[in-house]
Amino acid sequence: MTTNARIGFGSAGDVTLVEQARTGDADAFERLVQTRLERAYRTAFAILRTDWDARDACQEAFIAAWRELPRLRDVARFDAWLDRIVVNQCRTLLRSRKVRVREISIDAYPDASVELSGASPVEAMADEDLVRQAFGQLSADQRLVLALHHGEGRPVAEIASLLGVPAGTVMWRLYRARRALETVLREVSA
Amino acid sequence: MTHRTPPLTMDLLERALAEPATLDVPDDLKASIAASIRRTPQRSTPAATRISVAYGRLPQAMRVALVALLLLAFVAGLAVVGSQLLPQRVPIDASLTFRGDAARTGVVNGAGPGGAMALAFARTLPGQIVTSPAIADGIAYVGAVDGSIHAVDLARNVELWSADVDVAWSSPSLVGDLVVVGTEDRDLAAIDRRTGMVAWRMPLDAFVAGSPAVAGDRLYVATSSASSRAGSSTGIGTVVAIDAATHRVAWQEDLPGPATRSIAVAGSVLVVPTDVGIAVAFDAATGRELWRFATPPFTDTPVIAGGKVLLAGLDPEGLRGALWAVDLRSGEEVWHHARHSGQTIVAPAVDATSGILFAGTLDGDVVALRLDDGVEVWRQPLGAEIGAPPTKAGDVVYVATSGGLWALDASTGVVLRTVPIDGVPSSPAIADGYLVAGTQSGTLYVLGDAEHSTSIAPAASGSTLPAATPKSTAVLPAVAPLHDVWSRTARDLGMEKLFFLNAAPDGRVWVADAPRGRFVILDADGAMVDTWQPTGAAALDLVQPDNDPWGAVAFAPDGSFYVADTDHQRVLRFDSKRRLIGSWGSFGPGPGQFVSPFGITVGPDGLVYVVDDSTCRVEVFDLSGGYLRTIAGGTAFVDRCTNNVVVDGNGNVFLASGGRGDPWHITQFSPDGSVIRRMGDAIFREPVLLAPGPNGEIYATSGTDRLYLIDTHGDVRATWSGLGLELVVVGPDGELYSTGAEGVVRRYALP
Repeated sequence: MTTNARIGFGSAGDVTLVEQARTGDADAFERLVQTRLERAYRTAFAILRTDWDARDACQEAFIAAWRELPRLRDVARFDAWLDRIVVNQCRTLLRSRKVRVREISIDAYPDASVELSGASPVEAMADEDLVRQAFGQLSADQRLVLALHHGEGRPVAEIASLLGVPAGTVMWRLYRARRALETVLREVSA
Repeated sequence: MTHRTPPLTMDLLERALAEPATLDVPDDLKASIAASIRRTPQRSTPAATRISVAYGRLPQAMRVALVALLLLAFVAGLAVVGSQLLPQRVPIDASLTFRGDAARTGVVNGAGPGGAMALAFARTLPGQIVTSPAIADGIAYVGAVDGSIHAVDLARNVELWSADVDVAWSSPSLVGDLVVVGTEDRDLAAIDRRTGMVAWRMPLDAFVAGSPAVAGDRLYVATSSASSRAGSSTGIGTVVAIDAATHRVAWQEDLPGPATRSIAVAGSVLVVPTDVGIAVAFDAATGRELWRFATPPFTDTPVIAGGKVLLAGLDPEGLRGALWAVDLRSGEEVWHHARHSGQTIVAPAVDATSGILFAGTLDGDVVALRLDDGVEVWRQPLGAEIGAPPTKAGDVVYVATSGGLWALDASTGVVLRTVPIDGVPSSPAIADGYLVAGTQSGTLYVLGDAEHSTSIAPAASGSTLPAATPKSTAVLPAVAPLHDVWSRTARDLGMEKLFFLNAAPDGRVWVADAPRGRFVILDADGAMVDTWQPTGAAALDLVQPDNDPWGAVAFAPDGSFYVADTDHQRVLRFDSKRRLIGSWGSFGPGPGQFVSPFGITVGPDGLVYVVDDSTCRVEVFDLSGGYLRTIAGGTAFVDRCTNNVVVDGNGNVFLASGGRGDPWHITQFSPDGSVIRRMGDAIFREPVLLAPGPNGEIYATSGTDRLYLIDTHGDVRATWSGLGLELVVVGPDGELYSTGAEGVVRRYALP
């Protein structure tokens, strides 16, 4: 699992930059972009899986953040707010693409196996490709929770906060998403 | 390539979705974003306010020069000025038009001054105020019968500008950077919000007494002939759709009579009230008439909400007043509500989210009705004429009566505060935490919360009333207050945080120490007498991923007890000696499974009820864990759900639930799971937790600051607030215990 280093919002300087940026100081906002772009890009890539899509999502997300920044009342929540904008932008991008996105019934299949695959290194790589292929066919919301939790290693509580839903909801969405992924995995490997 | 289907292990999933080893941010992305933001304007900011204030501070000569420059710019670029109208900027916490929005709902998304509102300042304007202000960016734009629109900075009690456009009866609307208002000169005037300069005037050859309605790229106004100004039934009226950018008429239609109230518009439908008691609906795009509805003798401003149009028939005689709910599409009556007296009901504030509307009557009552069927939820007599529509913000309904501004609890109608005023007021406008209302005596009252009210020193100005001492008084306390018998903080008990507790049959109180997977046990006097931490197979995991401390425990009459081991998705059963004698459950949505078992109750029927927070269902088991049935929910997931249940002596189950647009409420189920009734709509805020009282009544917490006592008929009998509690339980002797957000266990003396 990859665990990204989290960028904290600890310094008074950050607070000042956000304060300045929300009153129209583009230089201050640029400095905020510099320290947060990598994290945003990694998140976008985890969800979207292509460089160009991740670029697009980041570009749009930071522009949206700049435009909406005057509406951010609690500057201490800038990072969480920006995170949410990035994720929402990814979701918007996925939904705007005419990719094969379906809601997959989870009732028709048994529980996921938790056994070890015992595959060779070559087979393991092929398995990973299949999973990524299947992942690409999931709905936007399913991709979001899987990417954030299993790709980025974010805790359920953080995802809940990010998406504005209870932790139980995230657990449930993860459960459904994994079941859906299994279903598609069977199809793509058939 | 055909490939075997790999088992989807967690390891495989994480490897597949891990970011590539070489993932670098593209070099040019940073520069590309930087370039984009320099081309992108920010949304409406407090800077606009500062510009206005700064302008007001400039010396007269500079102001004249600046105005001249702006005028030149205006003349040179009329089309550009027109384009300022589009798109409509919507500042946060704005009240852009009469009743807040074009649908005239009277419900404000932002904060009002709250139940502790107090007078911030009062200003006299040089004329009666018979209209409602528009508010944006902390500035109120209010018309007075002297013919001027006045821009007042609410934070500083400073008049930024006034513009004489011969306004009288039309409440202003904000359209982009313009204040648009109907005038006595038979035209529509647009004033630049920043400068107070007239941007344009559009002749209409008729009076516009209502507030212009703004929707999409159009303005809509209703007109009346001169002879109808006093509300007589003579004269003619028209409805005019105006292209906002070009100020040209898009379409115009005759009305069955003159119209001096405001148009409401929502989506594609425009509803126009007339002074002859007929409301007419038009297709907003084309002007095609859709339907008519009679509300004799005089139709007040319509309200469009929740697929209905609320039409109040005003009757100066006080004999035929009534309020109708009409289907927006068909124009058919859904229900109507009339006073026994037949006295007039004025246009309501309609909260489609909670499904409740709030209306005032000329004989001084405020009534809350259900939007669906018009059934009365509560009634509060204020004893003073209510001639202006109320306004709702947050959980408070604000009502203007002759002589007072009132704040009522929207859930119960309890009066939270009243502030005396001088004269007959207009409908209150609310934004940015302020309530602004004018009176026919020419005084503009500005109310704020305690913070606003103490921080504003009225400016030294001849137009400002003497420094006012807030005269607010709480006139109707809800019930006798609850008093602590004792309280224990989490620190007192050696705990990090606490939430769940329950009272055992022996009168001891078990408080879950979730991070340690144990219980701290207090006696009825609050002394810590024991701790208990199950180990081995019975070890508990009570900390949810969001770090909330869980750990519901339920006691059976024989001393055995059950623990919802939430993060293990199971229920553990212990005997009275605290020995594990059974467990059941696994993760999943199926019968007998749990996603997040939150609440647990042993009913008087000897059955165990487990509430699964994430599927909004109650699963019923026998005492040994044998699955019996599911009540409510099912396998479907709901975002917001419920927390715990109360089971009465007859096996009726009371479940609090809500979310996804469904207001929080309590549903009573029969023992077989069928719904008996639903109660408490519009009362509750999430989270709602229930506890059974000793005589069949239910205690329900709402949010983190309210406690309701609900009788066996579902009626609220008492309300307490400001207790900082989230969960309550009632002990075997009727004593009330709570835990609260700040991590304190309390025992209360019941009044």
